[in-house]
Amino acid sequence: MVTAEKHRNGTPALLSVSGLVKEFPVGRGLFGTRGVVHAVQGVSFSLSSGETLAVVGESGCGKSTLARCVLRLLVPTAGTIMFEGIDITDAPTSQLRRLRRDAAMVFQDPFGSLNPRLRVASSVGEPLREARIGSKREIDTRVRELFTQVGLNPEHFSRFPHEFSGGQRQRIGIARALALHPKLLVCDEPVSALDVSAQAQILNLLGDLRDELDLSYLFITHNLDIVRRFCDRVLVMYLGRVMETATVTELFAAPRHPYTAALLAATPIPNPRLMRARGRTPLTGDPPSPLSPPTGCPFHPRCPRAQQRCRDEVPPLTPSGGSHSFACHFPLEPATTS
Amino acid sequence: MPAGDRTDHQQPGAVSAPLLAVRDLSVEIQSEDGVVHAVDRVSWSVNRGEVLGIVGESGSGKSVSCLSLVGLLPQKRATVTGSAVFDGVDLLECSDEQLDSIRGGQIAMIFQDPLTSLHPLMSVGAQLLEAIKLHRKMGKADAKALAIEMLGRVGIPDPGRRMKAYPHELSGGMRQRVMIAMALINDPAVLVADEATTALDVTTQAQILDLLRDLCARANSAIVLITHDLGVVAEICDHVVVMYAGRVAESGTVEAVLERPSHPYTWGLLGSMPSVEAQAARARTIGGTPPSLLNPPSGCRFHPRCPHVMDVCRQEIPPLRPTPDGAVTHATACHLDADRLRQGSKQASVLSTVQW
Amino acid sequence: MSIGSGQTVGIAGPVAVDPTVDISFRARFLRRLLADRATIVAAVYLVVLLLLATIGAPIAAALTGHGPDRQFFNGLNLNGIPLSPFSHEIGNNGQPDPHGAFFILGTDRLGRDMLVRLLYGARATLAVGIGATAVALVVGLVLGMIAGYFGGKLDAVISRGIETAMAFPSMLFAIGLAAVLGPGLVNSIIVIALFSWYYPARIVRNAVRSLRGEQFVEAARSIGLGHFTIMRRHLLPQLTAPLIVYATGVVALNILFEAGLSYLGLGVRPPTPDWGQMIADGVTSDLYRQQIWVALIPGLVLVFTTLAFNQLGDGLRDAFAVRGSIR
Repeated sequence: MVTAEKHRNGTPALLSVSGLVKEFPVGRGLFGTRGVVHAVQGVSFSLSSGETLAVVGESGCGKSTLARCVLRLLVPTAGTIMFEGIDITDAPTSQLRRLRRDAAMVFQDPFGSLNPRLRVASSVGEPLREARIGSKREIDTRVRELFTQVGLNPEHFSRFPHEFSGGQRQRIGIARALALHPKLLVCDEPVSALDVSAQAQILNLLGDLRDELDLSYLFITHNLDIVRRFCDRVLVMYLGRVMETATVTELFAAPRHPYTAALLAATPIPNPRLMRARGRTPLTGDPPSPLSPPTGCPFHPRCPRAQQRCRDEVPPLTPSGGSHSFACHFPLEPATTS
Repeated sequence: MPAGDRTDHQQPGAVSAPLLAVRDLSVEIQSEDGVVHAVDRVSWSVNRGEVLGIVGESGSGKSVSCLSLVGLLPQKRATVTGSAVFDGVDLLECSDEQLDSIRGGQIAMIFQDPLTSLHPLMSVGAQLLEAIKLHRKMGKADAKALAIEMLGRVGIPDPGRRMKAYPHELSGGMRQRVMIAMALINDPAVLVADEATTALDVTTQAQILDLLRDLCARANSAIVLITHDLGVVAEICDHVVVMYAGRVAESGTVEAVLERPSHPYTWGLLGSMPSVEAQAARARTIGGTPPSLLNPPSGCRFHPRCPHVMDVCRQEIPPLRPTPDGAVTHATACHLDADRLRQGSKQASVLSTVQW
Repeated sequence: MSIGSGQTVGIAGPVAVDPTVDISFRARFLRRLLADRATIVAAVYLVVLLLLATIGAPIAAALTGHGPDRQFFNGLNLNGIPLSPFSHEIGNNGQPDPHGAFFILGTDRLGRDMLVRLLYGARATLAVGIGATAVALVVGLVLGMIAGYFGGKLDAVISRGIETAMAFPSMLFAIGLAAVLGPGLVNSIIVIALFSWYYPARIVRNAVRSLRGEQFVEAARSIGLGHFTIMRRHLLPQLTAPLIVYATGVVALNILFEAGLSYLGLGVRPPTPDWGQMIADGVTSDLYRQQIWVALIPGLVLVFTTLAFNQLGDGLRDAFAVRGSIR
């Protein structure tokens, strides 16, 4: 929370994404393709050092694809990505060494993100070995250090992943991500696959690490509760486009985009009185497929406020005072909450 | 009917005897490494028109207990004891044939992943017709009309055409609606939903929960909703049973349990949920990890992780007894005395939830 | 008393590992394997066979004093029929000579010691069977890995190649090819490998394709590991289990294949003993009507060996059913 304000002015952005587009060819010809998945359609944002930016959306919105483009696990179809002032959009793999060191990813699946055949120490030490940093003994020491840092007993580092619980495996994944002292952690739904109590532990850990190591986070999630508690700013995505972006306070106090309002209204809170008072959700239909996105605003088929203009024109991302922007022709009034 | 209550006493204004009453249900499963004590003497019940939520994390036994009711556990390896009286008949004493006719007919289940629960090579319509044919005698034309009507009722647009669709052609939300249609088509008295909305987007989940509540209210059937999400429980459940490591930790009405929680595990669960916490606060988590059910802890199974553990907790299993708040059906399985329960209850209560 | 002061209650420190479940892959694998008696029998048989083929053969030859190629004129009875097992050579009087050579398994149509031939024959059969399988595995592994990992056009080409190769009737073409290349150990290996590489290739390709999507592979890419490093370090170890299981099955097939080629005279060159040839020997000119053992003995041994490899494969597959490996 505090860190966002501290770094607001003057500090160059750690990560700057402009007009990012990513498309995937899809379909089965004998040797050809039929159709294109428009996973990301023109996303722009920037992330300052020390900031935690959440990218929120439901399935098919492109948030995971976005995360992978940022780390150059995928090559963008169009647009630019600047990391620490360097254009990494099309850079060849040999030049990405710095990126690999300064940015790392924490994956969603605690069961699948670790090679089950490798001892956890090997998995955690792999970035070090790959970067050829340190002798075997130095790497071992660093691995033990990482284990302690994430709250695991270093004595267990020669065990296999299946001997740990889901939450512990996620800690191992985090340890691996921290191996090379990164500045940015891209977390792709890091707690979605965990039980509620483990989720809280991991979020606490991520928060502690953020303070200790002055990390920045690009935090991908579909859970607005977590965003509110953990993040500074939010980017709301729908079908490959940004619907709204704001600080967490602004977004939760007064969302301007109908989709954001619908998301907030649909998120269950364990308070029976509030839930009864909410009533029915106004949203109908299912999220459409990124294979054939609707014309104009991607949300218009489900939007209770949609008009003809929404079918015809893609609404641009309009800033509205300070850090709050939204892409809607008929946004909600600032004082309205759903 | 209150969960855990041994006597059949009636609440004023309540409907008569419970529709499904589970008593002292225990399940042991043979695994390669030994016996897993998955469920230990769990009791709850549900009436017509009510929604009961069974909440727990993985390993709590919530799914296993419900699968055991309708005989869906591998018979050779699972030992089920206790009783589960449904409409006067003990399900655990039924023969396979009897269970076959009850399952899908009077007790229907829907599961988490509709992609694997639906037959990938049969059209949606064919599967619906099959469900009808198994439990009723109906002419082909009538059955088809019923299927189309059902698809419409669960909110699938253009149901006549969708009858011919295959599961992989539909979105996740649509598939779940088809599952619900299949489950409700024979007017079951009880619908068991096992994490039915966990894999759905939050906006789709909201719609599905609304749908479930409406359809069952109209048919006056009961829902047993298995979930890990207390928010979902708050949304549509009337009563809730909180399970931990195969046992009931706390049970009661949703208001009672969420507004006056009376078990350290429930406190921990609520504390872990982000929405209950103020912005940017550190969560009050439950330390440690869930226990192994091969060798469960002695006494109270939560004691290794409980911040309020006392000696007696390690030695004696706490019985399910009424909570100090005086709510009729509210019960907790904890050795803490009334004062400390009240104190913890106040601190953990959701009444302080910040409203968005 | 406060519930929490914002501190995590208790550390997630020591791994909450239940001592009763704390068994490594290897221990679990061994435990399952050792409980499977049929597989143990098969494994023992194969080990013994291997020993007999390698060192047992010369020992037997030395002990009996019979080389595998030595033709005993008196190894046939007066009608020219080979001797049954446990016979002595025929003396000048036309009766078995108790001081003469003793044939434990009898003789073949040229009066050669069956036992010694059988043991030496094991060499050819096993060498070709295992050798061809090894070659097929390597070729199949490489092609399957490339196809599964890179996907796209490379996969399309290799997969079509696999399917085309599978469409050919292997025995017919093998015969044709062997006829062109001529008999011989190496030629046999080449021919057989050429018609069995596509089995492992397909398995590897499918396995790699599904592993490719696993998050630990993505994680390896995010660290910056190159494609071949990933294949070597992350994918290959996961393939050893199914490959081993598969290999045993393919060895069984290839042994039969080899015996078949030898039966038709296209395998190893005579007089090198070989089970297939021995069977052919025992069948030509209806010899089996008069002396069944010449064909039956190598035939039975061939059957048992094939069964043993198959059983071993089954047993290994069951024992390998470990969490976290390839589905």
